[in-house]
Amino acid sequence: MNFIICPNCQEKTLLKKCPICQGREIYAWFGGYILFLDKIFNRAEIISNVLKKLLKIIVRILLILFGIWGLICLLKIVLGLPEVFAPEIIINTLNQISRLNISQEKLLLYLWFSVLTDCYLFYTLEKEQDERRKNWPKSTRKSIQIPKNWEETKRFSKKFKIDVAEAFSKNSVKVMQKSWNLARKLKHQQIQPIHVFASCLEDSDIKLVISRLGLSWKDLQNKVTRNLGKIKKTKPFKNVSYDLKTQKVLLKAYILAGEGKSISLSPLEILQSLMSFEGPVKEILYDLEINLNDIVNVCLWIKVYQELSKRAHSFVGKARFKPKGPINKAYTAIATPNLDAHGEDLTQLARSGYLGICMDREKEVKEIFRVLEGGRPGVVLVGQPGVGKTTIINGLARRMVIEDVPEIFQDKRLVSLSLASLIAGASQSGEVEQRLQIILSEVARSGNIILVIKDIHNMVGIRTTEGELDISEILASILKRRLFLVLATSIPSEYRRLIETKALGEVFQKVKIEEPDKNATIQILEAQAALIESRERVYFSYGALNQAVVLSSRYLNEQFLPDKAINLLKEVAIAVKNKKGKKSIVQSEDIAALVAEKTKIPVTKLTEKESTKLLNLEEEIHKRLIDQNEAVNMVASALRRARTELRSQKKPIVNLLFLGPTGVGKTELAKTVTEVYFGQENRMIRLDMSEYQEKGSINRLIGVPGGEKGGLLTEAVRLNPSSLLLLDEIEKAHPDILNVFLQVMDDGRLTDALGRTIDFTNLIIICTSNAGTEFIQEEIRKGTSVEMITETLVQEKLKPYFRPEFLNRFDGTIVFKPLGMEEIKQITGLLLKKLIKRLEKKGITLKTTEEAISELAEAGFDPAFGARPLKRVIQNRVSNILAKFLLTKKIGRRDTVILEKGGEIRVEKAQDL
Amino acid sequence: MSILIAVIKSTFLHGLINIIIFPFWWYSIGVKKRFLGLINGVNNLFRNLALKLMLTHLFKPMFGERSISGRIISFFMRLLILILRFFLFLLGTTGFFVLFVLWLVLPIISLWQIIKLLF
Repeated sequence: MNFIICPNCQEKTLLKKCPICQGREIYAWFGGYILFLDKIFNRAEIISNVLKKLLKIIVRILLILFGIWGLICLLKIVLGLPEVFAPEIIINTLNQISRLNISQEKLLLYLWFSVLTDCYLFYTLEKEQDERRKNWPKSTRKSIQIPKNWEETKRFSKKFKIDVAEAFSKNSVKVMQKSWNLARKLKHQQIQPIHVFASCLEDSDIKLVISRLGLSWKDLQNKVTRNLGKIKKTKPFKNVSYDLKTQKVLLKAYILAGEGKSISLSPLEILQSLMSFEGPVKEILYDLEINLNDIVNVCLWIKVYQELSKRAHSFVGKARFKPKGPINKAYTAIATPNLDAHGEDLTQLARSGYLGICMDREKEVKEIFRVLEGGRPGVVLVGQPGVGKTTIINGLARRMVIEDVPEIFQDKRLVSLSLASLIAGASQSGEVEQRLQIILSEVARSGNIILVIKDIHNMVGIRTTEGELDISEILASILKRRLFLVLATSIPSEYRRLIETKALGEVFQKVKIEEPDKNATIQILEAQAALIESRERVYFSYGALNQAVVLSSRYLNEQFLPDKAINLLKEVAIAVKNKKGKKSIVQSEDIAALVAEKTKIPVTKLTEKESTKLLNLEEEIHKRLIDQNEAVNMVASALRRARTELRSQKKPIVNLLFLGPTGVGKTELAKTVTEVYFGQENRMIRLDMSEYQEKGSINRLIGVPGGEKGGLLTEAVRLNPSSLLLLDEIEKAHPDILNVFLQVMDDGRLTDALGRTIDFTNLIIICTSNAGTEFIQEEIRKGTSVEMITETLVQEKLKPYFRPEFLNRFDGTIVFKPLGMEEIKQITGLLLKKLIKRLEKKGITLKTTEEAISELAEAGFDPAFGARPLKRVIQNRVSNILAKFLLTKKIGRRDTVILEKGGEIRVEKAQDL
Repeated sequence: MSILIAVIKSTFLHGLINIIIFPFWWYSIGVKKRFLGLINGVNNLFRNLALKLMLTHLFKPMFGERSISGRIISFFMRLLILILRFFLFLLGTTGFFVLFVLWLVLPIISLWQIIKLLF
């Protein structure tokens, strides 16, 4: 942005007009022209504007009336001639209108005068249109140097200085008038950008932008009013003038309009300009999560709509000249009954408006033209399903209708051959081949047909006679003679397999169709959104479109843009219509909710409930797990980081290694985390690495190369991308398998045997190992701190089991302490609680005493084996006996069982009812 | 009040200047515009009637009929269509020309008639 500021005015606001710049204060530079803002839309200006318009209208009406009078005179003259007969009525009415009997001469005079004034009227109207265009220089003068200071601007003649106020559209003028009024009412000396913004909010186009951004107008209004209240009122109060910042904003708005090739400076450009300068306007919108890019894109969206409707009109006009039916303008085509029976004419469909438009695939279309003009008879568009191949072909059909194509395409039909129809009903051997031959010869003779074959890979291998050519080879051999052109589509895997190396591959040239980039996709969505909005009667906010693109590209990896985003929009429109009713706005949160539902990954914004849950994760976990605080803290912190989006999106949520003796709670913690965080215990993928000790077992994990299914690991993660992956006893796995996990933990991706990329970035990965157990137990006995133990383990003791780069990938290595007596007692309590719950279901109350718990704990405690023996003890001493009691009906509903000292189990029977 | 006077003054002045410039604009910029419109109109007419196409394909068989009788009939059909369309083209072009001439001539004629009637 090149601004030239008058050096004199810069420091202070003078009360008198600055001698150097005469109050202009600031110039802007735009491609060789100097821009300034002179007009100030104060009351005098408003009134004079209104008066001027009024006078103009009065004059015009007078001129028109005089023209009509001239017509009447003409009529009188014509009817006055003796040769002309006219019914009495007309003559009478005419005489009544012009009561005065005017002489022939006078009539002629009036007539010619009115002709002259009609010409004058026409001239004023056209001149006015030209004047508006004068405000926009047609080309930039690139060679001219930008002046370095105010002095140098004097060299420029008036022709190259433009007052941007002349270029304002009617709505912009209203906005500026309102902002002047506002400043005066609030007794602010200067019109600041915030005044302009406040007035913009009243404009209908801006209101549309605000609703597209999904903002509440009232909210915005309140914020603005509060901000206006903070500005100091000045006394004594003189005339309101523009603040320097406001002038910069308006000058920049002109430049934006000029670059965007508009013919008027509308409030949309003013809004964009307001956003691009630092200040309260930018902050208010930033607080509501809107940045400049969003505003630019929404303004573009509105322009896209206007562009689309303009294009639609011009299309309909030009389409009338395309002949209806199979005949071309040169009358050289023949009737093609066989082709018509097995195909559909895309140009006729386009002509009648049945095909949708293709947004911006210029590069690909140009490539198609290039290849076909270069002499190749066939082009195959290769791209993943949903990427837009059929849309490009439809776009081509539309271009052929308005003849916006190179010569080889002009005056032709685009006909799509249906393979299904070709094959259907063919009972005799050789019938399909014959049908194809007949159709192709029709096409060749007609000379005005371009054939389209979708999914051409389906042709390979179709033959109804043994050992002869299949129909793709027949097509290929006929195509080689270059009698006509063919467009085909295919997908990459099938193209590689069936076409590239075979007969069709020699004839067809491949044109790759990739997914469109983010901005192009948003444009496509904007066009589609119009259709969906009119059908479902809901409105899309810009945030919803943006979110649809972002989330579908991150989480829906099996499908492709733009199709997956469009499908999201269609689904969410119906969902929102059902939930919130018609005329509601689809926000980005609705899209996030739909994606979360489909992928089971939490992508929605954090709710209160979830936030509380995340803050109290440690507490929740400790309800099921005793001790092991470092482990619990580390996991909980990682989850908090993940959910508040402060983590790297390219790795799994967290990679942890749990070390320690057996039975101390490593697996239990994993299970607990799954239940607490995901809500269900079955969101855990558990792999026992001792099953993968051989080299070949990697095939079980990722699938057999060239096979039909993926492996256990990849399928499990693909179907449940947001879960916990538990790899038990990882030191037992073959080293090559560990290498696979190297990539997973670093990159968050794994490619299975089918070539699909599985996304691991929403997993919590926990590896458990018993390696170094004796060392841990030694050191604990010695009293070494846990940090020291972990350090030594990682640096030395784990070397024989794991490679250093593997250990390095872990976000945390946690040593689980062996359990002490206290902990065992607590665990006993927890295990007994489970038993109590189970008995509750039968209506039986189980009570425990302290001594009973201590006894069980002592019996079950073994430092070498952790808490597992405890389960066995409880099973033997409690569960077995209770089972016998239940079977012998010693205890029934409403009875109470008490565990007492010495292993005694007492039954208190309830009273008989 | 002063605003009203100022506005009336400026509008009056503006109107006077407009009237003076009127003939100059009419015969310089106006003529250029109308001329371009004429050229465009004629071009469009030519293209939409596909005259060039008809001419180049004059001896080509219609509907792929390559037999002798087919070719003869085609030739006469095409000739007929060409003549009809050319006639339409002439009609259209003449219309455009008439409009253009009107533009050039109308103010002068009106002025001349007025002067004749007044004096």
